[in-house]
Amino acid sequence: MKHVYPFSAIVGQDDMKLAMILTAIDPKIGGVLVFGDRGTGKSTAVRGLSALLPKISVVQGCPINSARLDDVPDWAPKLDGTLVQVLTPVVDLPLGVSEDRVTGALDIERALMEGVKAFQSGLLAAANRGYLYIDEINLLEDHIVDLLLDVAQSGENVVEREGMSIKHPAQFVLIGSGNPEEGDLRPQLLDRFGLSVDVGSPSTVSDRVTVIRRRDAFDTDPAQFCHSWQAQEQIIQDAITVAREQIAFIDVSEDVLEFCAKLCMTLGSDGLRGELALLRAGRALAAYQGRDAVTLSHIQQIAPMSLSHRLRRDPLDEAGSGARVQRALDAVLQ
Amino acid sequence: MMGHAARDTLGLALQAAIRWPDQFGGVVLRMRSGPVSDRIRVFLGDEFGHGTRVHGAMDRTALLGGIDPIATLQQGVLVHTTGVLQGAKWVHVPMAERVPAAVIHILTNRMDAGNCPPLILWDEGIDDEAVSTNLADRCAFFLDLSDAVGIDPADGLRDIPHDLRWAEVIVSDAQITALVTLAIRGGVTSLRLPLFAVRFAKLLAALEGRAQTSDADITAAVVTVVAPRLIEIPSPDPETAPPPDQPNQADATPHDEGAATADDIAPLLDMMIAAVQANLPKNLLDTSLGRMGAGRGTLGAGKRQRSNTLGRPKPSRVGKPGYGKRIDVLATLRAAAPWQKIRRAARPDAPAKFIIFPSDIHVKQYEMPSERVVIFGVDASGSAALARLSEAKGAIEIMLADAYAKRDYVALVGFRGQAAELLLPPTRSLVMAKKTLAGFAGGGGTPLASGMKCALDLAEKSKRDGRTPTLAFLTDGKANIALDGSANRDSAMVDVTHLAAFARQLGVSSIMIDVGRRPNAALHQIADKMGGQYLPLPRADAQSVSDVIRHTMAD
Repeated sequence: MKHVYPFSAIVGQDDMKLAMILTAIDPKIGGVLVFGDRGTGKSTAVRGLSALLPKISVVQGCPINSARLDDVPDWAPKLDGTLVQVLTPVVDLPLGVSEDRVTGALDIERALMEGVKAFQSGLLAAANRGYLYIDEINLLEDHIVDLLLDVAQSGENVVEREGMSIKHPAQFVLIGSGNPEEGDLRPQLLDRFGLSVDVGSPSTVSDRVTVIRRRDAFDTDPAQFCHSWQAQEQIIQDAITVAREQIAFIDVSEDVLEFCAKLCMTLGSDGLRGELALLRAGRALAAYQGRDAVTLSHIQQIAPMSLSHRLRRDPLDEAGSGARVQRALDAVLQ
Repeated sequence: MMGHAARDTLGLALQAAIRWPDQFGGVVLRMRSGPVSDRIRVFLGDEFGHGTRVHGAMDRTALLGGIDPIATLQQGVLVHTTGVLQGAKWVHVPMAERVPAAVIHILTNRMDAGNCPPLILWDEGIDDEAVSTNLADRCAFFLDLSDAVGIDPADGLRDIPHDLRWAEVIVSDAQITALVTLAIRGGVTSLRLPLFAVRFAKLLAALEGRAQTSDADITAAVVTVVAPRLIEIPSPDPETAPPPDQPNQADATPHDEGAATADDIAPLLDMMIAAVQANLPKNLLDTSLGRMGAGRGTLGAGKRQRSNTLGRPKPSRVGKPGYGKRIDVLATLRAAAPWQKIRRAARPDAPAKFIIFPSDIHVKQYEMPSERVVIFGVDASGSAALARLSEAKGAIEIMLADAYAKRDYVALVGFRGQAAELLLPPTRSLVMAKKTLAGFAGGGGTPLASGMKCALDLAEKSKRDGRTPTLAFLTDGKANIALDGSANRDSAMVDVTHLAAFARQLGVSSIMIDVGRRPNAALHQIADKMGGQYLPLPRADAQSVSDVIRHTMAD
């Protein structure tokens, strides 16, 4: 088996790691947008996360990773219902991908050879119950982006073509990454992501040395390296497992709700998505920390990643949106 | 004059990259096509066997393989095509600087997954054209051979034993710390390069039979791997060094390694800096290596976006022809091919041999024609008060702020002193623009002619790229520097008039914003000659400038 660089061995990047963990606890938070420099461990983190999460149980051979035999779609090949434990799927969505490959299309092989109209599932099916990772999302073609947003919203992929009518669940957490110097994302798209974090390469020499040391150790002996990080990985995994069970019982007081509303009003963020994201992320954070209620400090911690991408842009504000969220936090707290 | 490091290591770099692609990725060879590149090509074939060629127009199937529907239909058996990346011993990419984003993405994805054949990228870019940073950053070796004459790639070849193991070679903390410090001081932020350098140093040590890298190994690795990508010359002066190390804040972990202290690494760092400086082109400071390096970080992006508009077809989509859309015959046939058996069964008596339904029809896609570039020509001379400059900056940022909705690009040409300079190549990125604009100061003469020429060159180029340029000049029109750089008011005006006529020929819409205290009649005439608008706007503020330009573009 190919070893994956351990999630917990990533140096720094605490915001990115936290955002990913929160969406793993509550996928309803929505996707994570990671903006930052090259080579800052964005894709390493996504893959590491999948290896770290508790395995999921799927019907062997099911194209949409169904948990039960009853959920296997009728267009899928006949399966015997054996359940297997697999890693949470992470599916890469490459640039320049065709619509057919994303949604699934006619199974060309069977059509040509047997003259049978069969459906071959696409990337959306493969990502069901897992993650869809889009590197350089800001360079993705518009019509693919629209399609993804639509599916991410409805949780369902619908394919209609020439008498073929296929529908299957497609519930996934979208993780998009990109470099802001290469172009911006449309605000409609930004808003659909639950959380957004900026990453940069580590700024101190010692952190950078650590990065290289660890990577070098991993390359030299992956098995040994992963083994030595096993305990760290287990701690995070356990915390996620417990948090998933506890999240339904987390209290949210009126004070906290009011604080969220005031914060969003102060920032003038559009719609209710901001409040919802704050609440969901706050609840997931409380659960992750083993608390039974969301406190103002939880909200303060996740406010920048929940809101900074929902603000109207002010090109003349040098400070950037993260700082604006901070200012608003200070103002509301007073 | 190129340092000799590049030519000396060529042979070993090729060997290392081709033997251990997972560790070194590949080699970027920056050079134009010529006798030297021919010799290297022949050498590659002789030494490493036949390499497969990848070019920019290849699609996913061509690269990664797939079913060939048309051949399958013809032959009645399933025909799979093999992608060029599958099973290739090594892959070479001519004109790597023009490879479109989709291909780059496939390559980088495979590299990250560790199943990409070694890449030899021929970077034949001129000036600021360069191979995508995303790709170059994943290649350990970047060799600039553009000035190399009489090079023999076989010279640097080493005898690498079959069972050479270099992964276990030990690198000291001081060596890694010195390496990282040098990279930071040289403006290299990517962590992939220092990692490549560590690997290369290990390889060098193993070749000499050492179990531990020597300072010479790590220095040689720095010169080979890191030096060619430096953005600035690393200085030994501690004042310009980054702030002292903070204690390692990483959580308590099994592999806690501290960085060596500044004192420990000082001698080694000095040795590295000296070696790097000895291997840089002598004219580093006055040529634009610094700028080139800085540009490279962003160029990949600009180029990628440009390549979409350069006329390379985008993937065809299902659609109706007409309204200027053309049928993509091949894509249509491909779409219809898999259905033939099914359709034939449904209509056994259909007269056509090949049954095409309207839903098969694919139309070619072109970049949106509405993609526009606003080229600002901003007078930053002493006479046009400095305040103008900040208003222009503001206007650019406002325009960019909603550029994503309109698909507009913004570029900036600044002119002051002796000549004009392209400060911001066409971009849609606010982040980029802000970075560039922050460092632009004013003062000196008014080389309006030079500014117009630079802006017009860019406009012409934009047109070639399929975009619609709009020129917006902010100046007081007191041109006093001629095109040749001489301070002669009369010949300056003659040049300006010529250029204005040229602008009209080019058919570029333009707007001349007079920011002088009193309207300048001469400037008005120039605007008329250009066939553009003239607008005296003595109190131009950012918002009104951008409003005016937007209005002009809407016409």
